[in-house]
Amino acid sequence: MRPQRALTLGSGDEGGGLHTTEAKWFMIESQRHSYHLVDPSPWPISGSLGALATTVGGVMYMHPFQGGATLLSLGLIFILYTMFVWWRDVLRESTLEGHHTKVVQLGPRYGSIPFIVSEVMFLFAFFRASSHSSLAPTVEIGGIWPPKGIGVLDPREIPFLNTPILLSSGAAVTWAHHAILAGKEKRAVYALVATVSLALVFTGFQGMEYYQAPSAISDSIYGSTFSLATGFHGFHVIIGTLFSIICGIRQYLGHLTKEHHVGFEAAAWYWHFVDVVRLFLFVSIYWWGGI
Amino acid sequence: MAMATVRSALLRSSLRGGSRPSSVPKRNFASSAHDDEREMAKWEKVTYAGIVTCSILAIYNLSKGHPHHEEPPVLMDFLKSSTTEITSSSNMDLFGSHPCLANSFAHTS
Repeated sequence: MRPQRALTLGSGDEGGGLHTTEAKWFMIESQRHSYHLVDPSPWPISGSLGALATTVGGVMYMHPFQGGATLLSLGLIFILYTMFVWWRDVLRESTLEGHHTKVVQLGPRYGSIPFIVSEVMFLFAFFRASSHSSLAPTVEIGGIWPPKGIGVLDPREIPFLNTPILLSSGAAVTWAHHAILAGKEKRAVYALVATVSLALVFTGFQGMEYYQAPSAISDSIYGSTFSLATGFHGFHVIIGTLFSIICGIRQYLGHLTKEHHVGFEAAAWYWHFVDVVRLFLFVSIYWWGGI
Repeated sequence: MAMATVRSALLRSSLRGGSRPSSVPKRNFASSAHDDEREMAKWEKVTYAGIVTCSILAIYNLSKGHPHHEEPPVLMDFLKSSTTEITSSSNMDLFGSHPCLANSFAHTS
């Protein structure tokens, strides 16, 4: 109810759309506090049901039960749908209804930190597994690393090329950030197009690398650790690319302002995290682990 | 009456306390719009330099060719899970020797 009142007042007084700042001040005046008391939402329970269906369907699929694949697919579709509509609602609340005041913006900003830290710990496990297996190679793999008989990629070729590609993409996202802060909207869109383009080139080369790789995930502990580490990093690159595409679309639509662009900042932090992981990946898995 | 007005004003100001822009620290990479424009131009140049470098590297890498593995590389059989067959003489017998597990394997197979 409250947001509708805000929008009606704004459009009546201004004779046009309500600007975020006016909506924000109206909300503050009517609420007498700057916090966002969220309306009841069906998305937490729908997301939970989707997760339950995915888990049960996944177990059924991996065991000889009928309908496992169907339940798993339905669960995943339900989760994806929930993600879409939940984030759609958050964007409406923040951008169009002015609920995300400076104080409210601190929530997602502080929330991004433990999220990225948890991602760091997740990927650290694969680095640790690789180090554990390579620093003291067992007799079963010939007592050497890479294991006896396992072919490895030349780190000076595609792996070396892909690293500056991702780093350039990180530079482009910083360019986009400064363009937003300077109020240069078109330049920010161009910078995000550059970010996404470089990310897609990276993913293309990564796919090419897997296609031509002399070993696969089932080829000894080397193949397992290499594929898990590079594969999950590649998966994170794809997530970050989608995140940047959404930010680019929002920037094109004029959602992001120099005062309010938390979503973009989260995408930029995530992208820099992916960049840093790539550096460690190149040095420890491709280079040190491949010679 | 005056007292009540003052109290009301104090209460209102305390409730609005969090909404004041000055109460939240301003976070910025640069101190002004001018600095942001300069930083933007700098990172734009860095991006273009990166793109040029990567293009040269890509042309070099793709033009010099790469090894094709027409035949699968020679691997030691025990390293490859794809060639390791689970037969009745190996793992199944080990578990199958237990009466409970033997029944469960009989159901699944």
